[in-house]
Amino acid sequence: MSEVMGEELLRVENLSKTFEIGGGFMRKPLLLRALQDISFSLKRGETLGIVGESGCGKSTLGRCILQLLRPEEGRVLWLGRDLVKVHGEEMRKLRRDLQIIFQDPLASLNPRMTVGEIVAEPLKTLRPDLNAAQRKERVRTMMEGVGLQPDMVDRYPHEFSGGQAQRIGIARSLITGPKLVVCDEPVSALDVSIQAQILNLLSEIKERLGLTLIFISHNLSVVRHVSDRVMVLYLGRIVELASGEDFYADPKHPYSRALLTAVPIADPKRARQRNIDALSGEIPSPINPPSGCTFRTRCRFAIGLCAEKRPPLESAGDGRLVACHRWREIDNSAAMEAQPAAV
Amino acid sequence: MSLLDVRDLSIGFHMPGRDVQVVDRVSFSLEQSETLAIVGESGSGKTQTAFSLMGLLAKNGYSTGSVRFDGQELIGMSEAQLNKVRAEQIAMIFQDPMTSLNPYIRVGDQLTEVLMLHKGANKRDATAEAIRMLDAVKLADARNIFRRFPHECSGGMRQRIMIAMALLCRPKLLIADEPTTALDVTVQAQMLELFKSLTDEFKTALIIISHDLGVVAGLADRMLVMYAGRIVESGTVDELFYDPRHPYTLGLLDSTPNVETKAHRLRSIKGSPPNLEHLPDGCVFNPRCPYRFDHCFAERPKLTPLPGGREKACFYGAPLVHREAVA
Repeated sequence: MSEVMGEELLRVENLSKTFEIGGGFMRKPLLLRALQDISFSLKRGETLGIVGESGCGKSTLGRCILQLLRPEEGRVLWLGRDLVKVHGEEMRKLRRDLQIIFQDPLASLNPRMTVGEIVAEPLKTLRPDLNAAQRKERVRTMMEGVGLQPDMVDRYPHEFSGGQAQRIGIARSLITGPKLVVCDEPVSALDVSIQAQILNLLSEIKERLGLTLIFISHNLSVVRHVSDRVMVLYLGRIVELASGEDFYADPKHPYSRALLTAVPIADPKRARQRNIDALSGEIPSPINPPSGCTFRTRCRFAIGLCAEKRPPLESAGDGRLVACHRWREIDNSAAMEAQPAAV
Repeated sequence: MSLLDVRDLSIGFHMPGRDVQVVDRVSFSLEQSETLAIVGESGSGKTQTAFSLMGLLAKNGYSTGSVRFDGQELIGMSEAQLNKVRAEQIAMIFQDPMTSLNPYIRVGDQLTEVLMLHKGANKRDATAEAIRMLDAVKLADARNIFRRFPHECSGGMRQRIMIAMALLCRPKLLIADEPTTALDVTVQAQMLELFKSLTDEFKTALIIISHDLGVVAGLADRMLVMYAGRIVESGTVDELFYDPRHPYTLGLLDSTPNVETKAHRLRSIKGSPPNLEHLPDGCVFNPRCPYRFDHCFAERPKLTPLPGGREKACFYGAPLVHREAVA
């Protein structure tokens, strides 16, 4: 797929986002560092999967890229322009290119608007140059494009099933002809047979319209099917960034390894054979993260160094980045284990 | 005699001006220390089936048929008798552990209350037993957790506490309704391991209700696939995963993305499940079925035994060779 991918669309540099929790008169708020020092770039036509468990910052990252949340530090360069510095009317113009699809399809649709109004809404705000007839025409075309009957435009969201509602959400996101779409858990609320329909629809639309996607999900099986590259977040930091192929065949970071072995497999024999390298414990609080490597409290490879020094995100070849002091050793020992015993 | 024997269980709800049937003549049985999975999508009736076993249907719900548990008929049993069975012989774990624990009462008191009420234990014995059970569900530092309130525990800890509470009276049957759906994947893996070791250790029969075929594959011995309030196929997990005979089971398997392989396109099931108030004539799956033929519109198939003890409710007789979704 790399040959069809074009120039760099998006470059994120040292992005950080902090939330203040509580606080008040004479009381200092607690600081929750949701994202720290995130850097990556995205090429036209690429799909980047962002995975991690709850609270890792994956949704916050999606929102910071689109400037739905403003990061305190770092730059978000969209075709060379820093979105963090863009405001008002200028930002509105750029929003045609930058859209989002949300998780809960019904909750993200206004129950008092007809489907036609919902899908046309972004055009009203972002394309004031179009007249009502032109808007209507685009809505009908878009409805067909996502597999909805165009004559459903006068119905209300509650008349639709979850899968159809997500199609409406997708139509609304795509109506302005965006270049980058952030999909934030777009199929997590859907039943498995419907989930497959929506995943197929997203791949098909992506190819047809040449979209660039950021696909945020906690479901590693789903991410495998859609992503060219995969980013793993843990407590607001990138721990691994690799091509989908490399990542799923041979994860390097101990957290990536644990995540992948924890994914249940719909194959009884494989499931019985599999040795689950179950991580102990749960994710620590991002308000008071561990020193050094934030993963060390759950890592069976952790040594003294991991508590003292935060591992840098370093190159592991083939454009892959890993943040672990010991990934080389772990990689070697895993290779040893995988080798059949000498006869 | 089976531990649980469900015959022609139907469940309905009285709604203003009408009656909606959500489960239609479901029959299955469960042996001691066996794990049975009930699989299906939203609205398939899997959770209502479990609720009715426990006598937990909503006020406007009713069930008919027979549910024999350990020789006793549960349908029509008085609330007092049912309370006794529920606490001591059948226990249930729900999807969201936060809403099933009382937020105002310390974890320890919620656990000991169960033993003091149902087993007549004194405070000291109940405490010792509860702490032993917290250890059994692999909660480190059980004594500390004992003094906490539910909100001071993480999601995974709460689900372990729920499991400990369910096992306190050593029930013969544990029903777990989507027990890992609200959990992160690494915590889910811990929980599935825990279920496996506990059902071994305590010889508890387990009914696990799940929409996730991955969860079921690793845990269950047998499974039922439900669609629109009916069992469409039943058998061992190996039979259903490697040789599905009902087109819906095949469709579910094909729709599930696998983390070990990358498919360009998933084979999905076209359309969506029917409205239970307006079921199609004949087979309820026929609007979505690529294998349908004339007869499927004329008659509703019954769950019928096949050689080897498995069952399916489908008229299509030939092997299921992949077909493109119906137009």
